[in-house]
Amino acid sequence: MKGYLLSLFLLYGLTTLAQSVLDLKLDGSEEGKSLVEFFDEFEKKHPVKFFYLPEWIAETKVTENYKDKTLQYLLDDAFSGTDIQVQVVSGYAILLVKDPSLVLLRDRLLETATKERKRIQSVVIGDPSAVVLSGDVTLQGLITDIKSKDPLVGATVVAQDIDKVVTTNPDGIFSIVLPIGQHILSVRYFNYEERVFDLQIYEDGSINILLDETPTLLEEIIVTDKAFSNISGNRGGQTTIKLAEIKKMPSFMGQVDLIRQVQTLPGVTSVGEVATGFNVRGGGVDQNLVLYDGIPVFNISHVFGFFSAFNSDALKEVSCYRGGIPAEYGGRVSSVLNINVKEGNFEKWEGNGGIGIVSSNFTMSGPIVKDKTSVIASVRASYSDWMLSTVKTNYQDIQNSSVSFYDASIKLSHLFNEKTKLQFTGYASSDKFGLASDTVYRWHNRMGVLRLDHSFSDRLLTTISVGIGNYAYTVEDEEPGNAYELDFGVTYPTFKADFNYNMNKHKLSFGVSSIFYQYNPGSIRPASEVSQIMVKKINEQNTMENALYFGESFQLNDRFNIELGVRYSMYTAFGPASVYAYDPGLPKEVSTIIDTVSFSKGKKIKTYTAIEPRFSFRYSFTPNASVKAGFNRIYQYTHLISNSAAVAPIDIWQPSNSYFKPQYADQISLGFFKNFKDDMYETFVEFYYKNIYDLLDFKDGAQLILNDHLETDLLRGDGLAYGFELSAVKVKGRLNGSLNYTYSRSFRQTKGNSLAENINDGDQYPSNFDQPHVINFNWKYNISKRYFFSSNFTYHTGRPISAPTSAYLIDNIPVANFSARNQYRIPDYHRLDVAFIIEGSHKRKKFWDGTWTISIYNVYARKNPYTIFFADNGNGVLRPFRMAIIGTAIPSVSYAFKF
Amino acid sequence: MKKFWTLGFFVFLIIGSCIDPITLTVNSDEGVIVVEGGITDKDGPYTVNLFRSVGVYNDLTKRPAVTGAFVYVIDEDGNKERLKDDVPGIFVSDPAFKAQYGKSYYLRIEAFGGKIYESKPQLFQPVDEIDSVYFEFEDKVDTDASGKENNAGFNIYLDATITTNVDYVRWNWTGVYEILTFPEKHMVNAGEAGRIPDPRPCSGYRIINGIVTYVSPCECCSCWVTEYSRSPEVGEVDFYGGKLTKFKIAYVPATKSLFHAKYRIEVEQAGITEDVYDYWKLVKVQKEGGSSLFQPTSAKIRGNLQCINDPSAEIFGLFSVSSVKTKSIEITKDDIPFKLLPIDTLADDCRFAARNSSTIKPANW
Repeated sequence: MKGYLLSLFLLYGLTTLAQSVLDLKLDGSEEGKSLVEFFDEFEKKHPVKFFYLPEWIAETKVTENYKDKTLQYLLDDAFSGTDIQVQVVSGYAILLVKDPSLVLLRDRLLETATKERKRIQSVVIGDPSAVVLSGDVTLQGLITDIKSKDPLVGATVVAQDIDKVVTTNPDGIFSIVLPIGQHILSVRYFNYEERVFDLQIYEDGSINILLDETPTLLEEIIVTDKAFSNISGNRGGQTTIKLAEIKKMPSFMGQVDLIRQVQTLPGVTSVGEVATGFNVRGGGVDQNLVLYDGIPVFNISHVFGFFSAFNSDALKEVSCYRGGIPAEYGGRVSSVLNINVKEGNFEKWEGNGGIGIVSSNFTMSGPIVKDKTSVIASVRASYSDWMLSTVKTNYQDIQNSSVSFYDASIKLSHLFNEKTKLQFTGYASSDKFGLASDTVYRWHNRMGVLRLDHSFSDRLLTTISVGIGNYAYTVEDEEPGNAYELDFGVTYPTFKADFNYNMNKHKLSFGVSSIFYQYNPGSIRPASEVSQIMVKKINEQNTMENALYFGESFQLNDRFNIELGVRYSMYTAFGPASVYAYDPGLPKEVSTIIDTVSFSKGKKIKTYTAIEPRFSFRYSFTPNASVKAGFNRIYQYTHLISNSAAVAPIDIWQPSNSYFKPQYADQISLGFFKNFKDDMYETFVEFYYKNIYDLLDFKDGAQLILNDHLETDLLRGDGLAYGFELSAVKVKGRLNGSLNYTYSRSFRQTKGNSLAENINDGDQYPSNFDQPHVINFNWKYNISKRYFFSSNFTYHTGRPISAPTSAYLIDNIPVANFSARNQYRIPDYHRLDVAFIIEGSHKRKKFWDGTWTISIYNVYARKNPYTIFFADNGNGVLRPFRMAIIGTAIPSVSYAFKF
Repeated sequence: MKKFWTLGFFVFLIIGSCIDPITLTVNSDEGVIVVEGGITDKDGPYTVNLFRSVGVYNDLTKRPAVTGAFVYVIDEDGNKERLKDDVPGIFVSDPAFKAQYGKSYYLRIEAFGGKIYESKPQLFQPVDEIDSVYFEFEDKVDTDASGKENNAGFNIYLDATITTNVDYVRWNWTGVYEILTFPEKHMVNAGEAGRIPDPRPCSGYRIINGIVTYVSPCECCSCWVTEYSRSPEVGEVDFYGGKLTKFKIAYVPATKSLFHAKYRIEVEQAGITEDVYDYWKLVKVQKEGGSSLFQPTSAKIRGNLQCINDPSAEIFGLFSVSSVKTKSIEITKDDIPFKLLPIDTLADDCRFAARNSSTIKPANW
């Protein structure tokens, strides 16, 4: 019988086309049958024979009605996107063939993973017997730290068999579209153990993945853009810093310092050791938005910039955006430094700390209710008074002086259920710097924020936060005849609601934010009975900054991603206030005040609104090469008013008002990213061009403190910055490190309506932080699993200064005549630091783990000038002097422990 | 705020930092006319000095005089007073010339070569007398490795009340002290003979037959050294509410060299115009800012003059019109509550012993 059929079909095959068996029509009876049943029945109805191994399709069912559709259609539905291919042989035989290359690949991947002792776990999602005959399913997942349950942001999920990569969003969630079937997923996160999943997926599903910190740090990289995201990250100019990495780098006086590490990133510079903050792509220090769990922080330094005000043990990770800034962020034009605080351990109590020569810190973390509520609290305090008093000096002033600071951070987390989490973060930092004779400076930051995360579904996540922040300083002078107390402060309640909606290819984010600022711009009062200081108080200034934003990230395919966003910001300055009116035809000076306009409480003085478009785009040519571009416009409504090159603790933050327009910047950037040798080397070059409008600059000799008519001392100008960043990072291996070079220029131009409103005659001049060449070179060598040697070298062009070009005596006082602003430069800055790190043994279960760090800052003792000043050498002759803040090599030892 | 600069020195000392001279190459703009002086309500004649600026590394006291210029003080009614330069660079008014309160005056310089410079008009207003000037001893004893060292000294304070119409005040001080030297003990190197006596001629001693012999009274053993304010002190009357109490104006260290006899300090209170105040305020910023950690950017200091027929021509300095009141006090050795060591034996002409040292005894010394 079969032979007959065969011959019949051979004839048939000769007269028609061989694959015509695939054109056979179905009758609808196949619906609801298993594929095996269907094949059996189909063989009975038609002259056709299927060849296959039953286990390949044992569980597969036909769920649709294919009446009047072809066999081809059904088979395509069933097998496209799987490793099964359909072949027709001899016109009647349908062979189901597994693609051997895919099988081999998977075997090889599993074998490699096994060899590397990666944890491999088999996961089956969906009921194989209920499989739908369609190609793709979506796997969503949450990746968290096994101990703290913190979501891991930017973790990578790689479907190795099909070369597809996705990363987790800010909530630790990823979403990947996979063909139905078997896959090898590998989940990676920096400084965590890689996990490999032997996945069989048959329907949309989700998975929770817990990652454990790497027990040894051999493969750890220093500071670099995230592995993988160099290519597949959606925007250029973004870097994530893992705090664990910083601890392996040389430190200054034993302080593991976040801001110093930020200063080594491409495109970031600083004007010197005692400079609070940092400059990003030619922008001012005040143009960086520093968020501590979402709340802006005004002063990020201890001891005038020597140390940053954040205890790195309390921090989880820090993202720095220099370009293509997402619409979620606004209010500062140059960069965003988003600091995330660790969550407490939900499972067990643990602690860690560090002992250094300047300060010590301690952190405790653990569950209040196991798996429900956790807390992490950390505190750091200095004991540098002790250090000062041991300094051998002939100066009584110094031995009697005092420096002290502390900072403390707490975070409470409560899981109501898998979908709802409530967190509270509190932070405080405080500084006191006293001179024996008279002056004491104090400043502090304080903030608290309550944050609720809720996921309405796998697709819609929302975060609502309510918080308040405060920054203030006081200067006290105790000299009786002149005793005073000077205060400045700003308090800012905030509200923010963010929504993320994930539609696989489209990811939408939108939200609102609102910050109310209350400024105390300055008040002074006498601090002794004989003091001649008069009470003076500048009126409070109240402003409101609201914003609506909408962002859309569209992933067309693995290669092409585009992010579009828009932020609508609204700003209002409120009364009570008295605003001076000036003679419109004349420069604003005290003598040209013609009227005073009073505004009652709550009355609008001035409103500004702005639309801020944001855009970033990525195209990957290959899995290891991509191009990224970005544009952003950002408005800033508060300005740091300073007439010193570095930021001093007594600088003033001035909100926009009738006279001070908001500043705004337009930045475009374009970068090329390429990885080499299986991602061992990551490189990029990125160009940027930035225009900044409506900047404020001070008039020469401006009086900024306690000035209720600042508009007479400040001038409106524009800024221009451009440059490029080159970066090469070796991510893996015993020796790893990064080399960054930045070329950047930064200019200002202040041209008013009259001569008195110009700076440098209205010509363009270099800004205080125009440092064209910046090189940062970090490397780390693992001598063994427990011993590391690390080092960094930094170089930058000296910053611009004004220098005297001639001198004269007047009334017996030598006076120097200075050049126009910023026409000369101080000598270039360069410095080498080294560190040797000894870690405790890497046994997993032990009670105590200690790490010693021995470092030398400024190894070759270069006297890098912080500033050049000009002093009378006693004979009426002016000489330039170099003032080096760090004049020698500074060794330090610190001990960090964990239990 | 006044002590802000000390902060700079403080911080770097604790961590081994340092200050040392360096060389900075600049495009010098020496040779620009510098105006110094003006008219006051003291007795005339009044002087306006015109010198030229020097390179930043040059000796400021060796300043070239401006010659061949015509200099006038002109009042608001157009009355001209010519100042004459019998000594190069020093332009002096007629002794009979007097300025009147309530009137404005400006300076006009017609320089050789045709450039004309003018100051802005300066309003002449009276200022009150200083209420009092007094001192307080401050003990600051520090010990160091080499033994005991005194850092003690006197804070000089003033009390003042401003009732007149001036908006700005400047305080200045001049200190005078006497020094004693031994020019007869001066020696020179004489090759193989070693050091041999070489009394200065003004000592009144001569070498006669190889012996140092007294011939006449010493003319250079006693000198009076004048010191000046090193930084201008200016104030806005409104800021102090018109009344100052115990305003620290100077500090005089209690050292053996200053207190061989006594120290006289004369404090001057001048009512100044806004232009003059702005100028000195910038100078003060320059003086105090230079060494500050949070150094305000040093600025080009423009005075109250400009070239009226060539906007690109620069002119430095200040023409001031001010009412001036002075008060002086003396501090003697007996005011120091401990015993000073004997003075050093300086074997030279006392005029070489210090800058601004003169053998002319001040009046009423």
